[in-house]
Amino acid sequence: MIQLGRGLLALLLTASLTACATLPDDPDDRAEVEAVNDPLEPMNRKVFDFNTAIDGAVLQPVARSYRTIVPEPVQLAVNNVLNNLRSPFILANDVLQANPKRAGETLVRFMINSSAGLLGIFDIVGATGGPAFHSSDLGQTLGVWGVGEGPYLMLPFFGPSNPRDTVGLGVEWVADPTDLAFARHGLNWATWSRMGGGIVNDRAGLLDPLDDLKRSSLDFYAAVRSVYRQQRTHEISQGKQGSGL
Amino acid sequence: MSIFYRRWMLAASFLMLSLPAQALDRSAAETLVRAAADDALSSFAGKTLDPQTRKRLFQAEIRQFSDLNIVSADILGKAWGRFSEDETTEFRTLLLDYIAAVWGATVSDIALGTRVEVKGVEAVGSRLTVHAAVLDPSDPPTTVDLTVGENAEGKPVLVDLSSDGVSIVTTMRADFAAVLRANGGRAEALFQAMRQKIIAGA
Repeated sequence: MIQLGRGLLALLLTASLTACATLPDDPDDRAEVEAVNDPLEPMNRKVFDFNTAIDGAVLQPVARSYRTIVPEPVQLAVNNVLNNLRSPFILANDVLQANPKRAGETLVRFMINSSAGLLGIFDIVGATGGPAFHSSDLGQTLGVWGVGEGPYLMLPFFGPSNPRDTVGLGVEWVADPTDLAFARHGLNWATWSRMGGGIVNDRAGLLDPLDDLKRSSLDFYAAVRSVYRQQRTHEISQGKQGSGL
Repeated sequence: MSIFYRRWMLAASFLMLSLPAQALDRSAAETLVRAAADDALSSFAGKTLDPQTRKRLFQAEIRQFSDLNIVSADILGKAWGRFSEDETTEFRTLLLDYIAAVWGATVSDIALGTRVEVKGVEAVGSRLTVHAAVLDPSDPPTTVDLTVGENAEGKPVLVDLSSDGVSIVTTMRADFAAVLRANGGRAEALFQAMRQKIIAGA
């Protein structure tokens, strides 16, 4: 068993080493490749192709049908409910980021939208000129704390990431307060419904931006990588604004 | 020479060195953004234009309010300096067609009654960032950041546009660099990829 484990480890190490992008000799080119921060590019591109195939075969058709068939007010209500269910996790991250302004906004939105907004169906706070929804996650919190992103990663099914954001994603998977509350009350169907609805809702929201990016880029993989890294940098800088850290 | 005079000269030299960063006038940058927005809205908002007219108007906007030399250099980074004179000329020509082909269609989505409000101006390095909000009557407001630089004649020009922290020029730089890297830095490979997009978007 131990030998099998060692064999697998050796195989994985060999695979990851052979998957590493080779660095050019020219110092300028080398600096450019290092700035891209994608040493696993050959492997990442393969995963990206896999994700694109799955997306084209399953997710995109479902998301396009959802956007075509479901009336817009219903789509908006679904988005509002999903945002509201995410609020406890966002609040925890706002607090971990020592950001009282954003934490206060999330708390007020959650309390009012959950009650007057009929369990979050209506975004009463946003509609009446109050603070708009903002997202937070553990990867962002780690970034606000000063944890580096690590090399760019393309995760199967989950898409662009990095070790820091992957850790955040893993923790969210097991420690989301809303899912924990559902589990405590035996509402596993709610967890699965939320996950399924979230995937379709998120993909539907990304239809236009990703179509635009694909149409406007020469190398879709490189463009997605750049946009992801810019967005994460921006989100972390937003988390830092008003943070006591 | 007194020590006071030497210190004064040193301070003056630093001021001279920092002059390019201050040379861009905030109000000029704001005026440029307002003029570009007004021009774009009057040309495209709520109008149904045939693709050729749209392309012509879009390219005229870019020529009037931007500078292809600066944008090309920003997009290509170090590679810009390695291109021959013929290649830089070819790139500039292709870039104008490329931008019109891949982004031109987006202007047909501008709704009638859309307004652009300038929210503030911020110095970032030697350039200015104009923060603005696009107010579409049927959609929530979108915030955009427009980067204003100075061209060789000292005229303020638009050199980048960002939304939610994502810059068009930074994204294009990563995209084009990937194509160049995959093709050993050959300019012709990049031009070929651009031509294919231009044909596809025409």
